[in-house]
Amino acid sequence: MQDSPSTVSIRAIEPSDVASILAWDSMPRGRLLEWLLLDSTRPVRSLVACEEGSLLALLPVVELGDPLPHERPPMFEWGRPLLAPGIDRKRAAALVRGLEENFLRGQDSPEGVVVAWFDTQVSESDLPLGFERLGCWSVLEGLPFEQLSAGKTDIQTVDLDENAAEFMRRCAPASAWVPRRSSAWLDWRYGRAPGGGHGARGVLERGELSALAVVGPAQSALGSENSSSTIPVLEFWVAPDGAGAAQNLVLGLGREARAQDCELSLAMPSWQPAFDVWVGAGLRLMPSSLDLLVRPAALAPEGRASEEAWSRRVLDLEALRCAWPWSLGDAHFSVRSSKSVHPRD
Amino acid sequence: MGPSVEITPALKAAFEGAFAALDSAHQPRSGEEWSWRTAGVPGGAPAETLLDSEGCVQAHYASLGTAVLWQGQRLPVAQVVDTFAAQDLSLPRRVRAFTLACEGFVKRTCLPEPDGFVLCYGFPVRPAWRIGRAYMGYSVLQEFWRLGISAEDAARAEVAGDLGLEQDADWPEDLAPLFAEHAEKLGVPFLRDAEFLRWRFDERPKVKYAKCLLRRGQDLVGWAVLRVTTWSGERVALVCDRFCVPGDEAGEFALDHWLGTRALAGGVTHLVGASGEHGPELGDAQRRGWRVGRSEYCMVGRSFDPARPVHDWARRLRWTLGDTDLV
Repeated sequence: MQDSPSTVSIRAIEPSDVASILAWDSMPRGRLLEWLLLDSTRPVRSLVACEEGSLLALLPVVELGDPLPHERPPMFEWGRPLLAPGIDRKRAAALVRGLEENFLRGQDSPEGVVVAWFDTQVSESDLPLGFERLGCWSVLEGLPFEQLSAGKTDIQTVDLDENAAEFMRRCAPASAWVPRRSSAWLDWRYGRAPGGGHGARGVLERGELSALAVVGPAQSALGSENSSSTIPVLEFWVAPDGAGAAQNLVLGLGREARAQDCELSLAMPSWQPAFDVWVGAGLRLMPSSLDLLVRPAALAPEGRASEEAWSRRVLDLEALRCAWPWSLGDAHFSVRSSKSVHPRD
Repeated sequence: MGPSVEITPALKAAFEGAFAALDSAHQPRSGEEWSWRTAGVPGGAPAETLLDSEGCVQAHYASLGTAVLWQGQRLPVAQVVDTFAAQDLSLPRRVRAFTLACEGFVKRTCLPEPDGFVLCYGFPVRPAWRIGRAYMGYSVLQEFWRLGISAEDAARAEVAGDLGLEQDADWPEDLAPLFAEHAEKLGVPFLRDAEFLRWRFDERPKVKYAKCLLRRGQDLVGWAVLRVTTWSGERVALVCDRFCVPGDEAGEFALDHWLGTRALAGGVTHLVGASGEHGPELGDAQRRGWRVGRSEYCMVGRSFDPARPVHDWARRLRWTLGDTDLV
């Protein structure tokens, strides 16, 4: 491991590490940590740095969607590394860099992409290795006030089963950068998430799903300065011919949120047609304190990459900007706990 | 900063050829427009033209110099414009020529050269963005949000009794101190003074902008600039520049009123503006009825000051359409 003491070793996180990590300051809840990083149904991607049996640092990593080896490039989300207390700044930097390099060297696929939602107050030198800014994570928030009392909406509770997963896959664009939803993934992401409170709502037309949303429990606003409680919309999928259904779903979700004295909040790339539905319904686009960072391709961490690799990186960055249909459901670390992602401060 | 490049017939021909190939609706640029974009620019218009051994233009990298206010300091920055490589070159040679022109420009005009540009920014066409990202360190700075409202809705905004709207007056000299005092409350703004605004909106050949000063009593508190034109295939009134003392909600409503009224008088029913992704003004505009939409553009840039990395610029920059060469 470069720039770190030779006695430090790096390995995948193990269940027995959780107790040590929980003893560090400002750690997320244990159940959350186990669910996010050590769920038995998902591959373990997070790495820890150890020295003489003591845990020093953790790089939290989650693979986006369901792993499907060889069918598409993997996409990973990094959280902010966590450090044991008492480590000085210089050593902390070396440990973090070592974890990052180790992860990038050890990836299953050199085509993989790493993403991270980071608070932009960090300095550039603290950004993860090789990351670029894809853009600000602008938040849509508010209620479709003007239309709440008008028109009829018919939304219903939907099971997050294989039928729902298949609908999400059908609605996703034809892009290499689409994390795959499956019933197993939905069960993990929303059915077994600590704290619970997730629910799915849909609009059916002729007995078939035309629009589907997953909402989370009420929480404070997502990175914006809004002081209202908000219901986060974690997934929002619309069939290609489902514009009317999408509007119905937006209105129905708005009514449910208002009944709880909340606003709605969500984030999505603006190229998605659903973005226009939300804006058209009257939600405001507000700046947030979070940036979306990407590491377009797993280039060798050291040295300058080849010209071809750089060209590929540019095209990947463009494709990620224009065709990756990310949603709040893909942002595991920032949405669940802001405290869990600030170990570098 | 380097001098403006001489606009030779060969450069004009190469420019017209390159841009006609990119955009079938491209209109040839007049000599007056070339002069306005080069000799007349208050912040200078340095450029780099790469010629082959026979004097043929291989690539061109040009700029419009301007400045931003950063914690009271006036920092020179450049909007990169009119970049191209000759269409008759093979793709690898085109990339190479473009890169050489850019590198020459950077070496001559940007930090660490004395008084060099601290930031270069632009709203590039896709080929330029790809090459710029791959070879010249361009990063995404900000989204380019389209803000729209019906002219009728804007015109309905009230003008408080103590506010006055003064149409098409000269840019006053007290504008610069007003802007310097207040604009940095919103972030890092592009400089505004009478000299810049005269060049940008009064002296541009063959393009008519309407303008309005907003006063409370005798005191200047804001202004707006409007242009009726076709934008993304739609006949609209574009809000090319706008400023109001931060927090002066009545002033913002008064500017909305003038913009809406003037748009209707110009025969268009829709107002369109633009915004970056940060700052309270984006939310304030939506609360007054403006609606956000996507655009085909994106603001990209490269910082030449290690103390001001692109992440800092991305979060702080405040711009209007007047800081682009799109209107």
